[in-house]
Amino acid sequence: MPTMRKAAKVTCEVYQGISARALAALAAMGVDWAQVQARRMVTLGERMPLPFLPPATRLEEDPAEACEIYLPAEHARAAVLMLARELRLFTAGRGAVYAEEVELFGPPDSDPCGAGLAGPDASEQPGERLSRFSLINCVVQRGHGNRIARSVLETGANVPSIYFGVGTGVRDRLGLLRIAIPADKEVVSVLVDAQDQHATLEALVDAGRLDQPGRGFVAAYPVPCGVANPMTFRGRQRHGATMEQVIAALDDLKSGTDWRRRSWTSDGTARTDRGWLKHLVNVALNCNEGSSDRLAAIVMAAGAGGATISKAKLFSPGGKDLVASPARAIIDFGFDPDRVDALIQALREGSAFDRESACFVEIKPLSTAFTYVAA
Amino acid sequence: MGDTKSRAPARLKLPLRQVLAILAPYVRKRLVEQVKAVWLIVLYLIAFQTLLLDIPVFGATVIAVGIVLVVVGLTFFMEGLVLGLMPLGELIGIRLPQKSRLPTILAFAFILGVGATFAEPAVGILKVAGSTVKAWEAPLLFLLLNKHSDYLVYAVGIGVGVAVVFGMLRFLYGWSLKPFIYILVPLLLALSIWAAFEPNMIYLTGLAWDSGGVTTGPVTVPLVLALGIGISRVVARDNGSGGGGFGVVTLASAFPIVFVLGLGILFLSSVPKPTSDVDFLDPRNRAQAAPLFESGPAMTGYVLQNASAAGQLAYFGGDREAMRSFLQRLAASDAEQTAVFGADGVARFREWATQKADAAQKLDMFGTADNVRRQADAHWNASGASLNVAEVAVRNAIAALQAIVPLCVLFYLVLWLILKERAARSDELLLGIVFAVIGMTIFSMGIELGLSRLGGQVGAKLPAAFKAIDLTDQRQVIRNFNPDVVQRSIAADGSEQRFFHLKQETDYVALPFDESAFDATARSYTFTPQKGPLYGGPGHLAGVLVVLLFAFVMGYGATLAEPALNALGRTVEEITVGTFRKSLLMQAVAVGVGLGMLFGVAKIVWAIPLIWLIAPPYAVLLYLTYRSSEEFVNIAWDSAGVTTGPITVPLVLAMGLGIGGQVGVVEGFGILAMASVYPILTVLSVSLWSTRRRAARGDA
Repeated sequence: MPTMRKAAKVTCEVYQGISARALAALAAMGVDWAQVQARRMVTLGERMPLPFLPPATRLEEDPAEACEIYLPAEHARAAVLMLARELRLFTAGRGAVYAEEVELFGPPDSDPCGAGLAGPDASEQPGERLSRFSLINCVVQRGHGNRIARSVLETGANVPSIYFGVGTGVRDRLGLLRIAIPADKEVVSVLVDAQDQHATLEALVDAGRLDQPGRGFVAAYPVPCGVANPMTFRGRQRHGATMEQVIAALDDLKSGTDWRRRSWTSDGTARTDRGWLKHLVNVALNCNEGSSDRLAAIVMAAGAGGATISKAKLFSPGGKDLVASPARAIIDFGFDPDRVDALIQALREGSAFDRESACFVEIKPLSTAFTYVAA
Repeated sequence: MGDTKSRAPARLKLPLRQVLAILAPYVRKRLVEQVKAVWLIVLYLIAFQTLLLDIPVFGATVIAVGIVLVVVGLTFFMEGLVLGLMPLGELIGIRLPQKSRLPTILAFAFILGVGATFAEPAVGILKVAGSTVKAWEAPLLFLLLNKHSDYLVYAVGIGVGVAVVFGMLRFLYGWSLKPFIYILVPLLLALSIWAAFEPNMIYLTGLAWDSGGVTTGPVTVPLVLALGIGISRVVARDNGSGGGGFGVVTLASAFPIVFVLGLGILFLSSVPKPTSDVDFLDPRNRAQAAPLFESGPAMTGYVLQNASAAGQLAYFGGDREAMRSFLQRLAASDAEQTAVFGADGVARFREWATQKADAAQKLDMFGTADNVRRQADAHWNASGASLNVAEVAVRNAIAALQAIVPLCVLFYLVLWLILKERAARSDELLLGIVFAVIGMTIFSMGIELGLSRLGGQVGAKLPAAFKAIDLTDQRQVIRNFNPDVVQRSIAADGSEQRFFHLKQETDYVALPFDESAFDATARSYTFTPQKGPLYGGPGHLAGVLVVLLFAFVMGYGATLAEPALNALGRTVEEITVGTFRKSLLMQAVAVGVGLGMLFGVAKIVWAIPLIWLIAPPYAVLLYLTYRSSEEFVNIAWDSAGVTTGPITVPLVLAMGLGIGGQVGVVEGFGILAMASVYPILTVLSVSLWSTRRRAARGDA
């Protein structure tokens, strides 16, 4: 009888040129279960339209990959450090790695959480610093992702990454008419300093007009430790050091990021009284791709407002044979924590935990979310 | 134990107004997308003909309707691909490696490849392209295109089947595409270079390379792409997020070339060498020449319609009497006419007798001049070009069903019987298949009624830029022509020029009198207006450059409308999460095809051997392939196989036949092959440039 157990999820997001090394690092760490998702990272760059005109900023997109692994909670910090060292992520402009606290539920043979690292070492060397972040995910219609990413970049946060997903919702109840309503989504994912969480959320709600129906959904999750990629601008270097290096040096001097706080509500609460949704948890069903439609229907029937389904590839860096199929789907949705048990019961009845679906459930806390809610 | 069905949310019923409000933006968006794809080529063709060549578009109404049909049909077809065919392919691709063993997978791959070839009418295209080939100028080519065209289809089909098998093996075992390219391309080039020295084979190389280009059509490419994507997502060997899935289309374009060349080599010893028609038709060579035709009477029919007067005489052994008695028998017997001219023989005989037979032959057949005239009258009164829309629609519908349904049935059978699964969202899949069939029917109709005619008109008149051509569709036959109306005039150099006045509508137009166009026995004068050369003198470089420029823009515009390229672009954008935009890929490929057309037309106009134009770009490609990453190599080589599709091919053929016919080449093959090479160059260049830019920013 599977139970809930605590674990940590470590996500490592790097540019495609580095991703091979990330996978090798995971193999060296003794990780047996890793999930890889194709993403693109969006930065601001410069373009010289004509030699005598001033350069124009434009959005640049580069292919990236995100690897996710699960570890025992006590090894999270060490894993983040090891990956950051191995991939030189403390240097800006390469990628990000961060850990989240989650609860896992599933049968033992699709348990993604390994035994953990051998000899974890969680001490930071000089020049390395892990910070607290908020992970913000914004789900919008396909085609709007770059606009959202641009508004994030212009607030000077870290580099956002974007991946594709498919949304479920009212359209699934319309029969064949549903083909006329686009379900393709883009998910913009960015790490921001914990203290900037609400300012960024506000900016995103405004940029995406998420207070209108059908525009999308934004949520923030706590990230206790991680290293972000602050290099949002990749134009010509005009000075001896980049701004990111200056900021990092000041962070070191001031032992923290408090000095660059921009929003003045001390506990990070919202300035506006929009209908911020709190007291939700984020549930992610990780299953074989062929079962995603069926399980998404169960999820919607159990009361979820809407879910986003994205694809990932599962494989074993250590070369172990996995029960689950390499083609995986992740069904992501916000949910009322009191009804999680009923949801799991419904999943069990829907044979979600059989070998054919090889599903497991990941539950993580959700600080704040926002979407259009019908009155 | 509750079941989820009873808790599933109820199906929403929306009022009609809301349904329309949902459908309207959806339909509009799709239609606008196709209009944007097609407008360039249509406007360009019309503008080119009316403005540059100064010739009105003939039958403009039918063509306009045809173009609208193309847009509507493409909309349905693309939607059908996205909703039905591609998800079906991807589903099979995901399930197949998980649930069946290697022999089953490979058997399925082979059947898919062969089936796709039989479903899509690639060989029909090749036959049209080869319709100007004369039996004595290129015997091997003629044989494979006519009597043994079945073998040609088998060769191409087996080539595609083998290609899909290797494609699947590549995915399952993680082999790179590069070794295949390094082996296949030099092999093909070597074979082609050898063929250039063998008089029969040199004409076959054009056909072989073109057959590689036409195999993968608008149904096969998305299916095979989706299948590949599905398989590579499930294969555990690929490290990374599984960005593979491309590369099968490349193989499906390369392997058939090998098999067609091999087929040619097989038949090489049993055909005579290329020679003049008199030599070929000489009775002493009959044993060698006869096997090229279905039967003796069929050969006679071919000779009558295609050989010169000297050749026809040679066919009868130089014996005028023998020819006369044969012709008399022919004119008298319907059965004989059917035997000689094939199905519909009586009508064809009448057409030949009126238009192609020379005066002496006509007298032979009909006895007196009066009879000849009566015969001509009967022909002209009977014939009348009428457009039977229903017939066009039915024919295209059958072709669309043949192209799509068997493949879908194969996939469903595999799904139900071998994989023992039901598809989720099967209503969307079925709707997609229906859309695809409807779409293909409509756009094929539109192409036949609109785009092909337009392209054919432009193509036939294009050589007017650099030489004088006859405008045969404005040909008029003036009956009961009284030679007394001909008057005499004098030219500046003192030579006598004869002319006559023709009343056209309300104008009296003076036209030169050409003795050879006057048929004394039938008393009819066939007047064909002439045009050109428009730019510079005959054969002047300016005129040829106009033609080359036209070819470039036509290739560019037609490619942007291709549905298979659209599907490839979408897939690439999806796999790279938007970093390689569909529009960038389509533009790169379109420019490449434009370049290919330009060189292809140059090949025809200046009769450059194909190998000189193909070997250098492939050599450069081998180097660029070596330098590029696996992902981009797969995408770039696949984009070559995608280009020549239902929009480009009719236009290319019309242009090639038009120019080739005017310039007088033996065969007009080669343009399609060129249009397949250059897109690889452009896409690889674009990808190398963007990789270099990323590396310069220090991503590694």
